[in-house]
Amino acid sequence: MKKKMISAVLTAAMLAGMTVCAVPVFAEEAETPENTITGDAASEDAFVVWGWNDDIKKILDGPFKEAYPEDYERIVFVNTGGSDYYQSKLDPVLDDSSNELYPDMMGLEVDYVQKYVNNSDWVMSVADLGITEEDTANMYQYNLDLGTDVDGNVRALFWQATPGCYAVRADLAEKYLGTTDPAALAEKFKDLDTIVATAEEVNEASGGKCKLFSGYDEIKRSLTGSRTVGFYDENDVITLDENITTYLETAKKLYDGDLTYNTDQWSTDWTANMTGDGVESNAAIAYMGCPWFVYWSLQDTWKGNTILVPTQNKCYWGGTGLAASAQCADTELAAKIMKFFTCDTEGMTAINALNSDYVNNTAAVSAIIESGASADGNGFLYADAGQNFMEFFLPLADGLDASTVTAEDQQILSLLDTQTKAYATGEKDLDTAIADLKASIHDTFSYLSVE
Amino acid sequence: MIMNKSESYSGALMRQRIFRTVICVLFCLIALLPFLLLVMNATRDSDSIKAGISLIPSTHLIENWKNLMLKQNGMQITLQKAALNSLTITVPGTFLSVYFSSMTAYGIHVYDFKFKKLAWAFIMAVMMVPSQISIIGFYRFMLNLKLVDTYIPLIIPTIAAPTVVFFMKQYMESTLSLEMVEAARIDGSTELHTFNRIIVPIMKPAVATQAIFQFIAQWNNLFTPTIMLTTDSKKTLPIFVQLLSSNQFRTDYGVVYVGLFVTIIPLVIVYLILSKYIVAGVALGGVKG
Amino acid sequence: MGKKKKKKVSYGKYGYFFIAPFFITYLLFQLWPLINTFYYSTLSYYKRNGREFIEFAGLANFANVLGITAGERAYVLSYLKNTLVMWGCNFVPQILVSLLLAVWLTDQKVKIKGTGAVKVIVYLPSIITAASVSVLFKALFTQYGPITQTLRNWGVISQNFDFMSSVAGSRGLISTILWWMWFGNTTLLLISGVLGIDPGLFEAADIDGATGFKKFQYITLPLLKPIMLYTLVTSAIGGLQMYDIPALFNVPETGLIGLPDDKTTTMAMYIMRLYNSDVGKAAAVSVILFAVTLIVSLVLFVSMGDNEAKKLKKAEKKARKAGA
Repeated sequence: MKKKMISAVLTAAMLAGMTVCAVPVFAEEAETPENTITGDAASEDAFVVWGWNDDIKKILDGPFKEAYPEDYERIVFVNTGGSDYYQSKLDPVLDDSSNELYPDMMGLEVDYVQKYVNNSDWVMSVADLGITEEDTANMYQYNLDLGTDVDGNVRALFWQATPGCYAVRADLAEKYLGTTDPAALAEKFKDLDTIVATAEEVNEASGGKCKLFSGYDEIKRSLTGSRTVGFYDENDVITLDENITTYLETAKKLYDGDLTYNTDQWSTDWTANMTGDGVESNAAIAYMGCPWFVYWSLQDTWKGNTILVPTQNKCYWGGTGLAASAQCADTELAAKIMKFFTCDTEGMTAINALNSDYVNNTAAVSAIIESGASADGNGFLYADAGQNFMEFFLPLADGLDASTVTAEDQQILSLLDTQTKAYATGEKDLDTAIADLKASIHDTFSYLSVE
Repeated sequence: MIMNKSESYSGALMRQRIFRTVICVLFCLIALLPFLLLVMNATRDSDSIKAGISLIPSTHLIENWKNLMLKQNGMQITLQKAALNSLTITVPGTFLSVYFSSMTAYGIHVYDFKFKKLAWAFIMAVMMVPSQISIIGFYRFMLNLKLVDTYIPLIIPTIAAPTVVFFMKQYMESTLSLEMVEAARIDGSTELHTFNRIIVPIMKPAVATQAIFQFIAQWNNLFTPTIMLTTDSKKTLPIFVQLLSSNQFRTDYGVVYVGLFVTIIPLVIVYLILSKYIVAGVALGGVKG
Repeated sequence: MGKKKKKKVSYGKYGYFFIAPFFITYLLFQLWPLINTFYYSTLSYYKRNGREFIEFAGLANFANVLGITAGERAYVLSYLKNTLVMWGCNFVPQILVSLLLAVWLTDQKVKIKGTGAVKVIVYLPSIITAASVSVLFKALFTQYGPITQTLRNWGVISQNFDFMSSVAGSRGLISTILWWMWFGNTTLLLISGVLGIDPGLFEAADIDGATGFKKFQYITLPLLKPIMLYTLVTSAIGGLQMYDIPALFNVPETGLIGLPDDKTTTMAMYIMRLYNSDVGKAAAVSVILFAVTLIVSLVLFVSMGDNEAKKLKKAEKKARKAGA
């Protein structure tokens, strides 16, 4: 009996072992690089750069290496693999400057950049690096604001500008909206009431098999990104812009009219609706977009099939910046990299050539438009509409405003989602939703108060 | 007359038996249905999964598996790595909890010392205290010791497992005679040697049962590893499963199901092999969560 | 004689040696953190832009999370309610089904074939990783998931019904998962309880001509009470710590908010949400959870009376022993 049991345990252990071992056998090409640190962090003049993916590294490996081959040799790149846990990995190392991997420079995303620029123990001001206002003259003001702390010191600089747009699928637009003319389509998105009316039009024309948007949250960015009031004032009292109320109300209209599929952005169903045919399977005509969204996130169905339309409110979506750490070992090199990425017109033209980024430099953008590069948005634009990718975004990038952004925005916007859903589905009324939103903001950030 | 009565009586009994069997089968089906759906969906492609449930298998298992491998390509944590990490924590953790619990139970069962009663009362009292409650203090403590993001906070504390001690002591009371210990002493065996060489072998059935339950409990643990591990490449299988439901994988239903398939089905197989011992051991307060 | 006594004393000290690892580990990794948690609960200790702000706050954290301070919401109470509702909706059907199965599977008169297989199968769900189970059910019941679609096609639910945005739907599914995972476990526990009842009692009742239900009412149920209470206590304590299933079931990627409308957030999820950003508050929530756990177990023990408590202890021992 005992022996039987032991043999059973052994069999089990073997089976478990086999499962584990069998996995790599099946895996074939799926070998994941164990070590994502590129370069020798132990070397004396190592210059450590942190990022959550290869975006920064690709630019370093490409145009930057070409321009400064010697400096390139010193760069050690730490890729944390995914942005989800980037902050929780970066923060402890920033507190520990004796760490071998203490970053000299780091990539920061718009959503949380304010958390870092407002901590002078972590991030150095670009003025201390010797970057002058003259250097940043060609940048979009909103991007400068994003990298500025509450005292007005610029601490992070961006190389992308990310004006928002709606990406419209040409074949479905032709079928259910009867046009592929960018101007006529823009008319259908000119304000929120028109957008709701357009959504109704699509819904009726397709018998509900095709909707204007996959979810009501497609209009979220254009409203939260064009706020004139931040989520709290200088006394740390929570304030909500009118746009928040507008968003809640419009979301409810779309929900009540059954005008979207009520999916969440980035969910499986949201992605599935991108590739549907609008007859047999569900499909959405338009997605909230921006330059990087068009060439990163749209599925192949949209290749040569995308028409760009301005959002009803000017807004921006995402963007990546660079900042030098407070204990940066070599401020000269930090300044060199930063200037190449974010100030230097030639460098930024090279970045655009590499990955089609809409760069944060008006002079570079003009040069790119003149040269005709990136005109078709990596092949996504619908040729018959005659749009030019860079030219389309040029006016949209002008006059964007990021002065309302705070370090807490990312989490507050997630709290907003919860209340929007509860209000839209009829769980509570508008006033309750607003009050609950404020209460939950205060609960998450106890230093912010509700009046 | 009498014959008739007994006939109708056994007829009622038969009807009752059929009725009860049907209900029991029904509950068995309920217990198995999610597994069936899982296996079937793992073999289907994303579109047909979306169309609705089906109990007819399809042919996309390998394709889904390849897609999963492609998706996790470039990620810091992969299914195989997560499984290996879980084993790295669970195997020593199981060993420590079972070994030291036996040791503690033995200490209390065999020896007479001043605080014996108090020690036993303490173990009984803390048996029901869940570890989640002290997690804040535990996390800060590990942070101060610079042990966050290592496996030490997940392995070492398993030495103190009150429920296992309780069980081991119960078992010793029914099987272990003190004469045996005395005899070993006369043979010149040291106390620790007696425990390791004589007592542990006697305790084998109890050790095996508890080892299985400890293994399952630690393998399935999500709460503490979520707080303790920050580096992706160190994460355990339940955390990887959490990633399966995140956006990185969600674009393909087939991938999600095949990922769940390989995290669940090995457990089912191992369970079916060991079920005799597990089912017998359940009443011992094993893995209630 | 004297020698023998001396020998015994000298062996006694080995007891300390054998129990030392357990107690050192427990004091260091459980008790000390617990004491610290109490200490942290008296601090205002939060992070802003990565910087820590710490000062003594007395009982302010408790007053805040319990909604006693003006303008504060009693989040702890609503999360406690969520936890208890989801646990309760799983426990009641769980104990009923388990009782039924336990009685039937042990019935000597109406013998069912294959009871061993039934036991093995119904217990299976409880060994599976809760995280995997939660993700599996989520995949099946999501907005356009296969079960949701099928129920729509069959007309069981309306075309636009979505479990994930319905409070009752989400809570109900979490309770269902818990029930599905644990009814087998409870069945096996109750079976060991029924088997512990003196068979002579049933025989005597049979001679008296008692019906099946009468036997259940007057013999099985009263004698099972201690073990049922044991099940209740362990399940309630486990239920209060509920984390794995709701934390993976219906939450947005950006945070541990139990959707819809924060109605499936549990106490443990709240602690997890705050553990790094607001240490003081998270510690206060932990202390409250500790208190509630303590009260639940005490109330149950006391309500049974001294005599019953002793029986429970016995039942517990028996239950744990039965498999050995």
